[in-house]
Amino acid sequence: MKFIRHFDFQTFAAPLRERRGIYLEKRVQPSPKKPDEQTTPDAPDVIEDILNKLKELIESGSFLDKLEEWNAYMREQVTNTFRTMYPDRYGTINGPNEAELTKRIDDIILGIKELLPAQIDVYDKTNGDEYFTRYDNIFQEFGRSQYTVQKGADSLTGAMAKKADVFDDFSNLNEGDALTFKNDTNLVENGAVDWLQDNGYKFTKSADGKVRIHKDGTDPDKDDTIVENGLKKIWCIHISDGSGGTKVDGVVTLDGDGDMVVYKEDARRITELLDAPDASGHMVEQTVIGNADKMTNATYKVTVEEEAGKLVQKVEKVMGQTDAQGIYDKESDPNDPERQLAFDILEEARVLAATDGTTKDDDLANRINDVKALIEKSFAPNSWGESIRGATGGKKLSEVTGTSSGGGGSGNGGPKPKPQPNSQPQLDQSGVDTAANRAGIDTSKELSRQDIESLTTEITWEDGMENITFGSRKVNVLSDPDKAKISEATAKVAAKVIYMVNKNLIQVNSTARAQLASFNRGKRSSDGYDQLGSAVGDLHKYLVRNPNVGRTETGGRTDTPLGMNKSDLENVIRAETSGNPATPSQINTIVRNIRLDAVDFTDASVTEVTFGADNKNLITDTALHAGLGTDADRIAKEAAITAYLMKEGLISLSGKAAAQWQAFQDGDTFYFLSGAANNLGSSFDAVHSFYMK
Amino acid sequence: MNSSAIGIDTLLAQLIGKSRAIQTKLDEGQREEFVQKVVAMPPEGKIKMLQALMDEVSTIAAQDAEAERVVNDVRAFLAGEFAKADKDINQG
Repeated sequence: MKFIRHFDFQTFAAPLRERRGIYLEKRVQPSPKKPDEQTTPDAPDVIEDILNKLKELIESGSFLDKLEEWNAYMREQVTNTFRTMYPDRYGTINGPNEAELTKRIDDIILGIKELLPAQIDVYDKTNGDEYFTRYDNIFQEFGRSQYTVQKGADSLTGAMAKKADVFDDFSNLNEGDALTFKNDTNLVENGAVDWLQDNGYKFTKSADGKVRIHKDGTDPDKDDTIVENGLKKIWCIHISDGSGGTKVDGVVTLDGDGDMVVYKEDARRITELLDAPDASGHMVEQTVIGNADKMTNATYKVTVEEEAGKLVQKVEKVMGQTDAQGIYDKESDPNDPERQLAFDILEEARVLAATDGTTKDDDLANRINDVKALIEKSFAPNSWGESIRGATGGKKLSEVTGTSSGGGGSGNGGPKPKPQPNSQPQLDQSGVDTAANRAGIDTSKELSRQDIESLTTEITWEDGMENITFGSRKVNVLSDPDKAKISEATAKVAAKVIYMVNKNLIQVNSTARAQLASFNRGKRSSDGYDQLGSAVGDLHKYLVRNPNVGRTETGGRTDTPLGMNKSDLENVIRAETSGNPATPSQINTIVRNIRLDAVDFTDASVTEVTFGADNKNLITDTALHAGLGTDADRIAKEAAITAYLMKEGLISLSGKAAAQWQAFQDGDTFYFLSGAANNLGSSFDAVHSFYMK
Repeated sequence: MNSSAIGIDTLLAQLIGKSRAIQTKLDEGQREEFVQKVVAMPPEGKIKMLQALMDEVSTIAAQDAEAERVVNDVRAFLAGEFAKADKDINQG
């Protein structure tokens, strides 16, 4: 078994004089030895032998079981070395200095024993099996053969499509079925469409290059072909050539006349199709994300669906590009769950790389950081920047609901400083640059924490800055002086910093951006609080430690078990969604703005919501709570709130989310929703993931 | 910053190269096939694979760091003990 691949034991095993240059330069550098600590010429070889043995035992994966073997080896090696090095003193076995030698050896063995950790958790064969199984399972779920057909409603797995019985007439075609492509220049003239022909369809190529697919024996110029055979939801043949990077090689879709048309690999053709005038009213809506130039490096999902009696064609880029800039375009939905997931995972990758990179993975760390920075830079206006901008111009939740200002008989809250929603700070780049000059700071560079603090002291407080709020909970600490434990001065400094970041008036490093992005996405625990200066750090820490600050206050009796009146809930939801189907992040925001401590979790309408075929109850399922980790209580409760909102119809769901929710209601927990439960928010996703395990 | 060569596929390939499970269980040809299969997966599969690979690689990194620390500590300790003995015996 290979062990400690990066450990590079050959380096360690090399003679000390050869090793020193490499080792000291790139790896952990031991403290310089004092002159009187230099070993004798013979000692290093013995040391390396001993280290080799130590490595061998660790590698075996059961080191602690072999301590006796290790001690015996140590004793023999060191004893022999001492006898050889000092023959006059220790050369005679059972000689006059034997007791001294024995004590010396005992001390060494004891000393080394103390250096060994209580457990050396090595990566052994069992670990490898575990991970390999996990990879294999992912392939089972997502993997395809080299040439594959992807089909199915909503571009989910073929298994799901079959389950939905969408493809009755293509029952012989299965997810992963191989297609034969002799070349990728013309799908019609090669074997790519053989399977269609084998299934009783005929292709008629027209002069304009279109190929009309129709049932053999039917008139290709009429619409009674595939569409009328109940196959209009087959909208795409998505082909991966396995050459690295999934791409659209060919598309079978409906043209403006409702005919099914095969297009060869030509992203621009897809664009042209979408840009084509609506000849028949069949294609009335288009969703194009990205541009043709990037299509060849991306995965595009082409759908034609029937909505409200009309055929709607959509082209949508999905993640998986080979180009970092293309992971998401600026035009992509900032609330796209996959995008958020990618952010989270890339954040984890960054952390992983940063940890790993201290010794051996600098290159990977840098690249991952580059990806992260690129994504953040690309989406600054739409992602975390949007969160800040929304917060800046947005309203505190209580302002929307009116529940925290003492009104509505709640009895909560006294007079509070009223934000001035119409005031806008006038600070611009010129003002920042002037202040930076005074502080001796170059704003053309990414600012350090110290730079930010120095600059902020030169920035004058302006009207409107008091409206700035923080994080997904949109907390305005300045307007909540009764709750905030940080000083007003600190809050003002933090507000100034956030304002400048929001307005892109200063550049901060990627760590700071990541911290703030994470914060604004609602993550309440993250490191690096101080990356944007101590004031922001203090504020962040305060909010992390006080999870209820910023949540909607309620008081008195309410007509829902959530501690809020239904009308207030509706206002909250409408303020977040503008009446549109809620995105996952909007669901998260809404749920997290409901005070958990105000929710009556004994109310049947909350507790009766169960999940999956086993009717799991979120509040009482101890296995779930044990499996969700340290934050289980919050996750379970937020999931229960999410479920309540859905059950009561308070949240309008997208088609996909509604299907998931319905499937959950039907008890179809473990299959149908696979990999897509995050459309119902992160807490729901966490619960689903638990049950999926 | 060179953005053109950076992406999830690249990250996946790098992490696959770091996976001890894959290194020990697959030969070179199989590893190449593994990479191709991952790259051809839909986005949600790539994300899941990326997450799984990161779990393993981070585990390896932590374990390697621990093992490396142990060996380094033992090396330093032994060197010191030999030096101390040498000093005791030759100067004492």
